[in-house]
Amino acid sequence: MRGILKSPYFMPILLVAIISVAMIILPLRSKTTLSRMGSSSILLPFIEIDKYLVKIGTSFEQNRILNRRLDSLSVLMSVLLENKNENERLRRMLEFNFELPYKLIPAEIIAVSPTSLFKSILIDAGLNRGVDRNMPVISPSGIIGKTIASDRKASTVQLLFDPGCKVAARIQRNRAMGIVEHLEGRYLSFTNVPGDQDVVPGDTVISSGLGGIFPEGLFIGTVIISEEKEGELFRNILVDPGADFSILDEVFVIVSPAND
Amino acid sequence: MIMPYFYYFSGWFVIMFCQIVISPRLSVAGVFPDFVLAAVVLLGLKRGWETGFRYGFVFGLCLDLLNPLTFGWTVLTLSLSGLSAGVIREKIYVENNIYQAGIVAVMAFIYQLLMHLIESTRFLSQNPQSSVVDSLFIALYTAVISIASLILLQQRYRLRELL
Repeated sequence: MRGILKSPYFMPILLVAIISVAMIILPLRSKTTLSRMGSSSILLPFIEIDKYLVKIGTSFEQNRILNRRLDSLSVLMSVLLENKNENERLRRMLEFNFELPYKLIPAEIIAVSPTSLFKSILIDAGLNRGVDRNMPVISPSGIIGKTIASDRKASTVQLLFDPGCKVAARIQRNRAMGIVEHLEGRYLSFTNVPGDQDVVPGDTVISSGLGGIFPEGLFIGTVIISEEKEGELFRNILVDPGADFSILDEVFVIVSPAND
Repeated sequence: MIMPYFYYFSGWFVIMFCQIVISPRLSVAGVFPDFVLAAVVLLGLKRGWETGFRYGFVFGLCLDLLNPLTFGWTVLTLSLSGLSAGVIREKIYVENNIYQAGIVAVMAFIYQLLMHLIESTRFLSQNPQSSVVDSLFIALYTAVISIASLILLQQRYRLRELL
């Protein structure tokens, strides 16, 4: 017994045993309080560093997840935007459809000729839907052209910008007659209008119905230049087409009068 | 006069940092190295029982603050680990990394087993077999970390000599 007491290890072991027992027998509530105090003072730097590293780790993961979600949302947004535009377009077309006294076949453009100015397009309406050759094709903004060939499921549309596509037309204001065709450049020409006719920029050009293909009253475009040249019988008139040929998506084929 | 305290504090800070911040991040399938025990045992082996005991006591108190359920037990077991390492140094010390890592492994195993036992008295559902396996893996992992630390420290001395 005396040997144990004289041992150099005795006192430290006794000391730590007393302290440990005192700590162990403390009520859990006091232990919790002491732990809380220790965690918020002595161990605070380590705990904060640990939390910070956890935050960094989760930030990377969150960043990755959010980037993925952003990507998918961007795609979704682009799809929704496209749907919205299509919706608006169709709404306009529907309203337009109600106004017209024709039976219209809606069609979607499935191919565009790869030339600088679009001279023909392919639409997804053919004989199966009653679309045949030489039928007018319009958009809510005006005449597009006419069908020149149809098979069972598709038709080729000759656009106004094709030199072979000519439309009998007139000025809406004074009924001055002429022919709309494409000669050159970005605009259509309103030809065969006598020099003495009163045609001014801003006048509306519509189809006259005399050509046999396009019915009367379809909007073609607006006069932007009208000049009388000396020594020439006809005026030089340029027309800005109402339809934007570069952003066409859906068109209508006029198959017959609505009451047919 | 101040320098020894500075070294004590630096050592305490580094080891606590390793235990609280690094150790959980080195966890492999729930097995993590016990930096504090490795440090206490190695200090006991290198510097004697007083140093081992002192560090064990301080680290034990700090770790007790982290877990109210083992409050008091960690300080007891770690102090005794440091003291035991010092006693081993006096009786059967060999200056060899693998030997020292072996001592660390044995003491880590006993320490972990004791801590599991203490916890299992509270949570009777603990499986004793899994406690032994867990303790064994933690002990081995701690031994590996000890060897790595010893080699690093030796390299540091060599570098200082080179400079």
